[in-house]
Amino acid sequence: MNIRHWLPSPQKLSDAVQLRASGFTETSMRQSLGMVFILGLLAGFLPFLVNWELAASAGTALPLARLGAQASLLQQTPLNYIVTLFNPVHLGELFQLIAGLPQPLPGWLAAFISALGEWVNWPLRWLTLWIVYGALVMVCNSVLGAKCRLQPFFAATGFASAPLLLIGLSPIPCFGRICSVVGVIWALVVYTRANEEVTRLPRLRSLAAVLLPLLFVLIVTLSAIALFALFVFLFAASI
Amino acid sequence: MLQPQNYPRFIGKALLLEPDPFVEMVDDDNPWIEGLFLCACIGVLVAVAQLIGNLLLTAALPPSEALLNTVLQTLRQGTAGGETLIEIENALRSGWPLLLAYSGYNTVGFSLLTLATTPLGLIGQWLFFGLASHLLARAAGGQGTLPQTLGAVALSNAPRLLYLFTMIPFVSVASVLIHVWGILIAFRGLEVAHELPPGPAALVAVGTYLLLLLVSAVAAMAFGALLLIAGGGL
Repeated sequence: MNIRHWLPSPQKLSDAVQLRASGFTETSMRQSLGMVFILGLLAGFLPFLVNWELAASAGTALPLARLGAQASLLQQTPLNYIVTLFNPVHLGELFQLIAGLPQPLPGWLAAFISALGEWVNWPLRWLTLWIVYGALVMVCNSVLGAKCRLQPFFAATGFASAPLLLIGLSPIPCFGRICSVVGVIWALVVYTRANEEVTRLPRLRSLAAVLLPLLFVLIVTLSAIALFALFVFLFAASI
Repeated sequence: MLQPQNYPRFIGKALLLEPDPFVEMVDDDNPWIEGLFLCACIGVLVAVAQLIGNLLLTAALPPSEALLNTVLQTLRQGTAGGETLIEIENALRSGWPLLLAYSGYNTVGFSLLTLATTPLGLIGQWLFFGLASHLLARAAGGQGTLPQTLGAVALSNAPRLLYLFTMIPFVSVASVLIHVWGILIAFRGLEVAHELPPGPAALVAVGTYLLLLLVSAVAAMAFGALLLIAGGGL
């Protein structure tokens, strides 16, 4: 297995993030797949170390350690419907109690494997974004008149994962958030440029094809949240 | 003739939407048997990975009974009282096994059962998808035979191998990724097996998937109704 078959050259990567047309050609989908996965792993490394430290210091699995850490925040919760079931102070105590329950594995090992699981989720989420969002953009491309095959499209749009590497700095206070926002915007720009290059659509149409699925996802997400809020409200009203 | 030694290559190329594995599948002397064996292999591998993942998850978390008791204890100290408290307790106790079964936490017996149900479910799903997509592809002017369609669409299960990562606890593979990637592979497979143009092939792949979704939703509702009739006991 040759690594050159699984990753684009650094020159291609550099060209792509600088939005040069040459960056989006002569790359295979295999190389893009490898790049998305490796960059996802790299981005998740710093959060993995932070998560492992958090869980190991609590001597439990990561989700329970997070629950314990959030306990104090819950005591100032403004959600009145929770008060009808739980006293927020009791809820905070519950989270701390759950975080303190012993598990069969030693604390450090439970902390490690849970942080490892969270780390592996990074490239898997990036793959999801790349494939699922890509499929939606391809539908829009077709509607807008582009004649493009799936493989070159995915090969080119995989480069949008390079700026997303900045999200890996998110555990750093303040600076990390700024980096994340910059990374997302930069990735969107690279994605639009890649789509424009590979579909040969005019710039505005290419931008529309990239943004329409975002609008669709936003509407679906907001509808789901509204439905969930309605469900919680009805549940709280019934007791 | 069965050629399992070629499956890793087939799967790798199918994931990259290359036409070669579909051409080889279609030209095989028994494409549907290859498809059947491929689905069974993927199903067994995924089920074993999930079993290992569930065992590790159970070992990494506190015992489920202790967790439930802690929640109930806090609930009793809360402001809710009387009938409301009893209702909440009952809802929690009846919903708890479902929650455990869904998350794979503390359900090793149930996970052992999935060693058989996962490959069988995958084979059933593949048969349904293959048959429905064949009928739709023929209606759209496709030229392939049913065994060829079954062989080609079997490769759309390739993304399910991502579930092997669930061997590590707390790893979650988005089902939307598995399904969308599966549809893209099925689209390529139908394009090759039936020599369809991209447009109709895409419509057939998406249409078949929507049909499968509808059937799954009806089956889930029937199962839910059965569960309700049985009084919530698993």
